[in-house]
Amino acid sequence: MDFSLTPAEQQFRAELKEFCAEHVTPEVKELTRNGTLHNWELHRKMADRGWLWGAIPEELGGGGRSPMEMAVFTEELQLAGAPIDGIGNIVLVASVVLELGNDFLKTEVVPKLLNGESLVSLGYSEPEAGSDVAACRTKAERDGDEWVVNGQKMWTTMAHEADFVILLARTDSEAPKHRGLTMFIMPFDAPGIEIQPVWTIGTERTNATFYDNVRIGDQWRIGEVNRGWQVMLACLKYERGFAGGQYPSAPLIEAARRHAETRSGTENAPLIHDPVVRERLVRAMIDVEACRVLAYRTAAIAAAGGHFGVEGSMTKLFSSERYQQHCDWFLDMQGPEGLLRWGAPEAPDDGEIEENWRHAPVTSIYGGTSEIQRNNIAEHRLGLPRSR
Amino acid sequence: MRLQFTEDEHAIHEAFAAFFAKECTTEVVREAAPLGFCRDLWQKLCETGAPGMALPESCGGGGANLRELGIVVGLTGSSIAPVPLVEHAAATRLLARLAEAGVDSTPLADLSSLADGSAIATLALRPIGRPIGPVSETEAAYLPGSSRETTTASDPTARLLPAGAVANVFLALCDGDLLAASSLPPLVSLPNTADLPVANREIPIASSEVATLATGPDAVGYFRRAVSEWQALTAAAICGLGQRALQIGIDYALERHQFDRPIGSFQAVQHGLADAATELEAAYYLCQRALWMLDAEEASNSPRRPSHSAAAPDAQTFAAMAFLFASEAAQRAAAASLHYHGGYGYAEEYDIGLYYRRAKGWSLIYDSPAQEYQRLADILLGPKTAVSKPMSNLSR
Repeated sequence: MDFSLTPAEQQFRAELKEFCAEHVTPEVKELTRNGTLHNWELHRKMADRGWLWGAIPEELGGGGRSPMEMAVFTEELQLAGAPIDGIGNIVLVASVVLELGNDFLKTEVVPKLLNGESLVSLGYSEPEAGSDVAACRTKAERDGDEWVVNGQKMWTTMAHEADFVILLARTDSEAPKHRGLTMFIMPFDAPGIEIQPVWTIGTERTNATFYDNVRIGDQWRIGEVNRGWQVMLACLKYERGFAGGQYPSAPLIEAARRHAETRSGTENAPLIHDPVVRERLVRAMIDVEACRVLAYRTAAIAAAGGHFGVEGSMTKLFSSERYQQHCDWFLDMQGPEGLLRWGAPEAPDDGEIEENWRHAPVTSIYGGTSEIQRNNIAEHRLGLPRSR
Repeated sequence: MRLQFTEDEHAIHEAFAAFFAKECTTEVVREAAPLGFCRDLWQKLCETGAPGMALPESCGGGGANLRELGIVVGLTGSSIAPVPLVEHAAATRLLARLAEAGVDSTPLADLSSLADGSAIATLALRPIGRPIGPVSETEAAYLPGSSRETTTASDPTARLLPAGAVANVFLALCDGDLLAASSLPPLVSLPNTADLPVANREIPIASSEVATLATGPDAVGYFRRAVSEWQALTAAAICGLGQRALQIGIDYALERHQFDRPIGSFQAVQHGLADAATELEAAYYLCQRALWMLDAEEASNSPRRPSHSAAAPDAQTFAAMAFLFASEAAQRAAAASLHYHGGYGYAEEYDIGLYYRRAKGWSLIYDSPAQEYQRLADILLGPKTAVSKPMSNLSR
């Protein structure tokens, strides 16, 4: 085995570090945390550098950054605390449109996404369809050359900033549930769409979106009618290391360390001398190294021409579960001060740990719950019977 | 980055997987207890060249790197083989390094008989005697095995020496000097939970059976590198152990029926096994990375200084991180696997208990993990004296 990076990969890392040091400033991060998980200014700077096009595989006509370069890309941005959720959606949707979409979508949607002009939301989940995505009830009915869409999507994050949503809809209610679905890209300016904010216990805003007799032309469909599930599966290929995030703990550990270095612990010794604090910081650092090798492993599989499935589940499961543990440890370390809310006067380190702690629960839920990941691992890695 | 075996690595894996499957059944493991050493298996292993495979060719070895040795070591782990391959390799590689630097240990420890495995070497993992003199206090903090043995200098003993029951030669950092000692192995181990061939070995100071190989910072440097190799290789062995323990649990869960279904169809069981599998795979790649970093450190021949940087731990620090992670992952996997056996897992007759006990023993023989976390903290966070910033008034 060989864990070395090529000179090109090292060069890209250096470029990213420089970019993050200059542009991912505390002010930018603060603006990001208005709830949208997105910062347009930063996003467009990245688009200007060609990094969004670069993230698209070469065989689809993109810039074809290698899987390892993409691993370095997502790693550096996360270490710097930059928001990447918007980019993740863009890369996924643009790639799947380029693979399976028609010429209209390729010219109408893809350039806007990759030039940094537009965002896209994911419209899979519904009030009654969470982990069981194929239980989707939002209906699309054919009317001549058009489709009429009625229903509701949940957790349509960034919808209020986005121009498009990739939308899974039921087009045949008689067929078995995986075989009656069709995928669409829908422009958010189509009449009949309502976006309602859903505020979360983290600082993020997400949305519920409602579709009331929304009419779109057939050119907005991706893939064949009633083959939406195949499009869903194709989307997984283009996750490209974004989904879930592998390094949520890294900025948290830095915050915890800063705190411990500037506070007193027992007997007026610095808190950073407390053996419990020291052990937990080291444990968290080791966990980050574990996340790193898991992330590199998926990239190496992709680089060798393979598709990773279970390996992605493992990375996501491990990084989110450990992150929650770390958030708990370090908020406890702060004692009553830790309660002070993000942005409150006197909040230690601006309440960064408090904010992480509130954000933590969602990480083992979105992008496939920990239970779904474990099911996947048990069935596809361990060879145990399907249990649902 | 290439995270798959090369053709050569693959060939090593295939050959030794077949070897251990044939020669090291759990009957062999059981028969080797309580000594924890099977002479017959060791001799067969010597015929393959494994004991000396990662020694330089100039010393009669096979010239392999740590990653290649790690493959064989991983298979000793999955078969919980009662052979001290890791200790022997770490100690003999240290002697070879000294030989290359012109230190001749031949009268006590003849490298050619160590390379072919006819003599066995080992390494005391914890420094012995008084705190290290010539290096600074800060440096001493980075020594492995922070819980020092506190025997007096006149009667030093390597306590709970791994492979001490069977090794002809052992190396130790004693009062700051790196010593080699040679004596007849007792061939009796201290009864222990993991059936490890551990024994207390006296260091006959000032006799012809002891030689000083290095002193001062050199002694510490050689010792530290050897202990790091021991940690990374033990991590590789423990990953193999954990994977096999997990597989035993999976096989049992598929075979055992309750409530008219295999217990492996229950999500509660599946999810416990899935968590164990995830941690073990992370441990495996951490350990591979540690071995790769140690190989690179050796190739660059760079003198190591603790980096004080969380961003980029050096090879030896990374080896300790991988060791701690792998130890816990394997222990949890073995414990989960045993648990899903129900009462049978607790029965002596079932093999999972062999794995459960060794998962603990192979790592605990080094030191208390709590001590190792504190030692790592000194490296990754800086020693406790480093903070001089004013404290907040909000002290508790």
